[in-house]
Amino acid sequence: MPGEEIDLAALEALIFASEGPATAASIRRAFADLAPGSISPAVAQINARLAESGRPYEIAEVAGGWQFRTRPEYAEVILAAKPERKVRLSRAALETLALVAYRQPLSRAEIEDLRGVDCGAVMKTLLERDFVRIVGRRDAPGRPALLGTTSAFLQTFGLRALSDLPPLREVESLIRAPALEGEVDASALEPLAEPVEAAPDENEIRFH
Amino acid sequence: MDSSPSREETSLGRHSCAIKLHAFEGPLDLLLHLIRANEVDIADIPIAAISEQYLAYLELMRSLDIDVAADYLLMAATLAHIKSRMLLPPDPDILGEDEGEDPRAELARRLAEYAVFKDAADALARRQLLNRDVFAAEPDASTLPEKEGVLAVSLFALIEAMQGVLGRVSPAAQHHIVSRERITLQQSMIEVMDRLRVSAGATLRFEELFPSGLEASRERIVLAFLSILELAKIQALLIFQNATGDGRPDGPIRVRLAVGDAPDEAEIEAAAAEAEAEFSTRVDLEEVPETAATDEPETDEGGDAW
Repeated sequence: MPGEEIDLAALEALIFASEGPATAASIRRAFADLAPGSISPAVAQINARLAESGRPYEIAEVAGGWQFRTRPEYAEVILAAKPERKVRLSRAALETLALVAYRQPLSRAEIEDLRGVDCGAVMKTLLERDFVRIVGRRDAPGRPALLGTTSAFLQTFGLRALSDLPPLREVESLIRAPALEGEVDASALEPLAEPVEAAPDENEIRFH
Repeated sequence: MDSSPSREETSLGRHSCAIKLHAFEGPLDLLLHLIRANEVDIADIPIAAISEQYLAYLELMRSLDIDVAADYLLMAATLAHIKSRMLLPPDPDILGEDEGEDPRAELARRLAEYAVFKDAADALARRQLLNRDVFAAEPDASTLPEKEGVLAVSLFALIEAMQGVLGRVSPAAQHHIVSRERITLQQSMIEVMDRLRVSAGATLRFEELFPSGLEASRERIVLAFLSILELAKIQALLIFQNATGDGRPDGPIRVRLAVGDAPDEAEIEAAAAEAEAEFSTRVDLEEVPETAATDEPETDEGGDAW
């Protein structure tokens, strides 16, 4: 098969029959003289045809491969048929997952430090559901496990790779921005900002 | 737990009564919520007011019998500490280290960092999630077990889990008490008949009438043998063996249900009950205390003979 003329129907069949995303490696095994970088345009062509003919699914590029996925407007009917399929992620799980995704590899203690709460139960769930795995151990006292995300994470969140994660906002921008507009005194030793009424001290006493 | 209050609803000054129930993901989440509700900057937190609201919220949680986790109390202490540092003139002894640094800087940095990841979590949740918004063909369930990966569990986690399981065992249950399984001759006869009936008229090899595997205790085997003899006696079953040319019995012993004028169910039951009564009388004699059994030296004590 010449490099230019990839058989779109054959490629579609291969992706359709693949369990999990069809990897570039498996596609290359089937189409020997495929020009580098020619899979994505070919998939785009297939997707264009699927859209034209009003098919309820398309090929998504996820976790380093290509996979047929239904369009979001059919979520309701699919879940109606099998409600237990629905992926449920708590706020805590999402926050923890975001931390692991962007900061990996990192230890549970580091996650707890960043979130300010214990993450044991959440971490257990994420490990069990294969969104997070132990990727190594830090060479430090206690040899804490280092956590990272899995292919299942990329697949669930529709990411091609970790580099596909949306860029994080700069922490600095959150801290510095107000100083630019609001003329905050850098020494900042004034007890209170203006519009605030003084807090009654009795509240603190309860916690001493 | 209800959904979050909108920013307009919770404004400064109406704190405790204006705060609606909201599931916070920890002290940083609560603080961030208060900061946003009050429309103040992370870098310039009005510590006194925010800590007042923070404590009011903790109070609310307590009044509703929600466990206030230690993490929340630690943050309350941190807030109180920052507040006191801001009220006091800078300590000349530590002036060298963090000269002029805002006591709130560290908290501001943590809050900002947390806010970044909270937003990132929101962004992740807004994506089109597999098995929520979009769906791929479900893998064949029969192939799933093979895909199970190797568990990344440390030895200590396993030991811990084992201890947890052992801890749940009541002391009484920790000793396994061996008790002899009791089966009557009657039950055994019914079992033998059942085995033959299951074979639907075909003959069974003699050996196949006996319990196998874990059930095959000496007692059960002896009982099965007795059962076969008892059942043969009432002609509920027939026992065969081939004969060689010179009339010598040869080959496997086979057993099948009797046909024709074979005893019916009720007769077998009655015979079994009768055999049982006779048999258990004999067993009872054997089980009388040792002193009484000594005049019968050929009889083994208890059930050990089996």
